[in-house]
This record gives sequence, structure tokens and C-alpha cells, in this order.
Amino acid sequence: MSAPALPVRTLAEASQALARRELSPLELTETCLRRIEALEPRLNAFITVTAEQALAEARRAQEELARGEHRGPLHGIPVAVKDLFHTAGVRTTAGSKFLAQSVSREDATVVARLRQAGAVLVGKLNLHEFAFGATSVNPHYGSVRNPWDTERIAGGSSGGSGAAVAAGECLAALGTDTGGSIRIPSALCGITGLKPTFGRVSTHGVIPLAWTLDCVGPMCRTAEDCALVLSVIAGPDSRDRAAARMPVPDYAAGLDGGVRGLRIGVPREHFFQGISEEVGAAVRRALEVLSELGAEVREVSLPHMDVVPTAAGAITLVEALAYHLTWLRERPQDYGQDVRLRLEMAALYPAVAYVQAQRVRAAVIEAWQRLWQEIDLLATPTTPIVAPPLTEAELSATLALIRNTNPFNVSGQPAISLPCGFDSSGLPIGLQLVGRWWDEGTLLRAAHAYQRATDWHLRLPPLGWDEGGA
Amino acid sequence: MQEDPAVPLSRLGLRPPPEDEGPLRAYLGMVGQALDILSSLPMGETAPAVAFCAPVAEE
Repeated sequence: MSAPALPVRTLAEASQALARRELSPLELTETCLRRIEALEPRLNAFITVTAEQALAEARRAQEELARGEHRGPLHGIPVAVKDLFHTAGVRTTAGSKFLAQSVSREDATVVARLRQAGAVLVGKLNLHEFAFGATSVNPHYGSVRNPWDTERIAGGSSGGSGAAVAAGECLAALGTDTGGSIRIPSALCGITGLKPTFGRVSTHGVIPLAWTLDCVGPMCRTAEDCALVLSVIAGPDSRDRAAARMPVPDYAAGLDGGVRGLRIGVPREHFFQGISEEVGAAVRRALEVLSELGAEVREVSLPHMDVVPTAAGAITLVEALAYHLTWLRERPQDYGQDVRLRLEMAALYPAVAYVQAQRVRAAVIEAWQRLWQEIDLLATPTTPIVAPPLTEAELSATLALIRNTNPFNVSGQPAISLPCGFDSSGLPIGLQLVGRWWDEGTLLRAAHAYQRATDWHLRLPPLGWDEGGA
Repeated sequence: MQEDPAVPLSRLGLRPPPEDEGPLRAYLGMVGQALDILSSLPMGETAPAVAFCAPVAEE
């Protein structure tokens, strides 16, 4: 079955076409559903497709728009969420055997906000079991496959989100990021993904991996699309005490400021060590583009990088074990081997290791706040390597993939991954930009400026798109 | 002599299957190194990054 072409390339284009009534929500949703039907046998990005519900929501959006009731840029837009977000009446599996038939009574806060904004939910996306891994190789629901080469991983843990957006099965997706799980699949699938500042977006109704690291964020084709989604999902939530009572800017309104005068730091330590030659070359070219656009690019030293990855590992493992302890005692055989082993490894940590890791975190934040007085952004490769083959998706691959992303879960800073090139076998490469706490606006502005000067983000995976497909 | 990883796991009521014993034994040594690394940073009286929040009255 061939996949029909999407009539638009991005969420922003779709939104404009819907507002001008050149396109209807029903037409757009039906196209996404037909693409899902045609492509899922090859990608396995979805665990549950909510076709009937999506068509009903699309009809409602169509009627509202016909009456002149416009809820905003997401009104009538087909979206999907990682199957870690509770959705009223639709099962939420977390990619696990434990929750295979678990149906929530209410929506996660961010899902409710998407619905309120008029978005059309087309389904729930596949992931690494319980979001505890970076490959999205899943023993219970099958592995997510990379749209650029279906024999390779999509990355994880939000692998279904990365694959579905790259393949045009939806125009935006939500992911979660505890050590890189938004940014890694975004890099490996050639899309744009934003991990906001810890506390910027509510995690109420999202199955946790590690409470003090987990972030919810958008995964889209462009930074502009991420800005539109973030403006809808961000903000305080009385049901999540970690969700900060901070004002939420109109991120889309601030996109056009360019990068002239922005100080971009490039770290000397850690982030460029052991990376593939082609990844390094693509990221250096991206930095040249940003420099030509007026940014001041300079080398900087990021303190404590000899300790940060260890702190990230200890915090993630021990918090995950705290959530999973009862299940691990009673039904260890129902976990995939890699997740079970990680949880058992967590049990080897003495309590003092967790406390020391949280103290390291406080010291790191203090030191990095000083550095961010001298720079506005930090730039690194998102991942040191391109998508590995499914047959090589072992623990060593996970450790390599999270190497450049998890430091910013430790610090809680916002970070975005955006496409910056392809390797010689046609696999996407991601550039990571890291911002000051609560300053997602500057990140999105810099990413948007880069995307206006390049077209990496508009390239499409070889999925046999129909004539004229976008 | 290195501790058997089954001991700390059993304190939490966990019984790892036989196929996990080798990887766990190898990881146990890394946990000791991790604690050394985490304790290597001079932190003085630095408090952990997470702190207790007292409940506040609803507005």
C-alpha cells in the first residue's frame, strides 16, 4: 500500500492552510490515518491508533472552524503522544506488559491542554519499555524502526514520536526526556525536538521514569512548530508541584529575532570526544552557518563533566527503582531483560550515592550558572553517532546515545535538537543547542534562524511518498 | 573478596534470575567507582538539589 502525500510539510503550514480554509481538519486527519495504515507495517511507531475518535475530533474541529470559532494554531492539527501519557478511555501501556490493558479515566494535563487547543489525537506512540532506554527496541510491542533506514533504531525512549513525525504520520508529537529521550530520537529521525526547562511543562498524568529529571516536550519537523506546541502545553499546574509558576511567553512571536550577537559556547571537554567523523563535520558546518548569521561562536570549558554523567546515572537508576520496586519483586519476568537488569543494577547503589549525586547536581548548577553569564547558548552534537542497526542496539549503544544529552537533565536546562546534516549513508545528524534556565525562547529563536538558512529539516525519509508528497 | 550482588538485592526482596547474575557481578565494581567519583567533588556543605517542600494552604 502506498502512502498518500501530506498536503503540507509542517504544523505551521497546516495551521495557516486550515485558517484560510484551503484544507479541512477532516481531510488532513484522513490523510494522516491513511499514511499510518500504509507505513506502520514498516515503522511500528504506534501502539494504539485512535482512528474513529480522531475522525470525530476532526469533524468537531471542522464544524467549529466553519462557525468561525478558532481555538489557535493547533486547532484541527493531527498529533500523537508517547504511550506514557494518560488518555481518558484509551489504554496507556508505557510499552510494558504490566500496563497492557490499563485504561485511564483522565487525560494527562498536557493531553488535556492539546485537546483544549483543538488538536486531533490520532494515537499513542511506541517507546522503550517504561521509557527506560534510548533505543525503542521493545520486546512487548516490537521495535520502532527508523524511517530513514528501517533496519536501524529510531532512538529513544520517544522513538515512536520521532518516527511518526519524520514519516508524516502526524504533524506533532509529545515525548518525554529524562536523559535525552526527546532529543535522541529527534536527532536520529531527522526532526526537531525540545526538552524544556525542568518544571516548564506539567508531568501530571505521565508515567514517571525519574521524578527529578523527567521533562515533557514537543517533537515536530521545525523549531517554529515546537514553539507553537510549547506555548499550548507549558505553564503551571495545580496537580504538579514541580510545574513552576512562571509566565509562559508567546514563543512563536519571538522566533524572528535572529542570532546576531548571541554568544554560542562550544565545549572543549567531553561532547566532541569519541564522536563519528561525519557527525563532527556536520556540527562544525552548522556552527559556521550560525557564525555567518551573526552569532559569536567561542570555545568554553564546562566544569565538572568528569562527574556529571555518573550523577545522571545514579539519579535515574535509583528513582526508577523506587517506582518499580513492587513490580520488580513480584513479576520480574514480565520486564524485558534490559530494563529488568537496569532496575536490578539500581539496587546495588547505597543510599549515600543518591544523596551525593543530588549534591553534585546542586554544585553543577551553581557552576554552570556562572558560565551562562558569559554565553547565551551552548552547542554540541546531540548524539556522537548516527542511528545504529537494530542488531547492535545494546547497552553500549544506549550509553553512547545519552552521553551528550543527559548532562542537561542533571542541570535542568532547556535543550533542543535540530537536523544539521546527513552522513554518507543518508542518516540524519542532530545539533544540540542548550539554553539558560527558562529561556526556551532564545533556543527556539536560534534554531529557527538556522532552519531559515538551511533545509535539512525539510528533507524527507525514503518511504515511497506519493507524487508531490511533502 | 567482592560482595555477592544477590545480597543487596535480597535486602530489597529481589531475586534476580540466573542470567542476570554475571552482569550484576560486573556492575557491582562499577558502583564502588561511581561512589568514589560522586564523592570526589569538593562540595563543602552543599545541600542536595532536591529539597523537602512543606505543604502550603490552597489559595
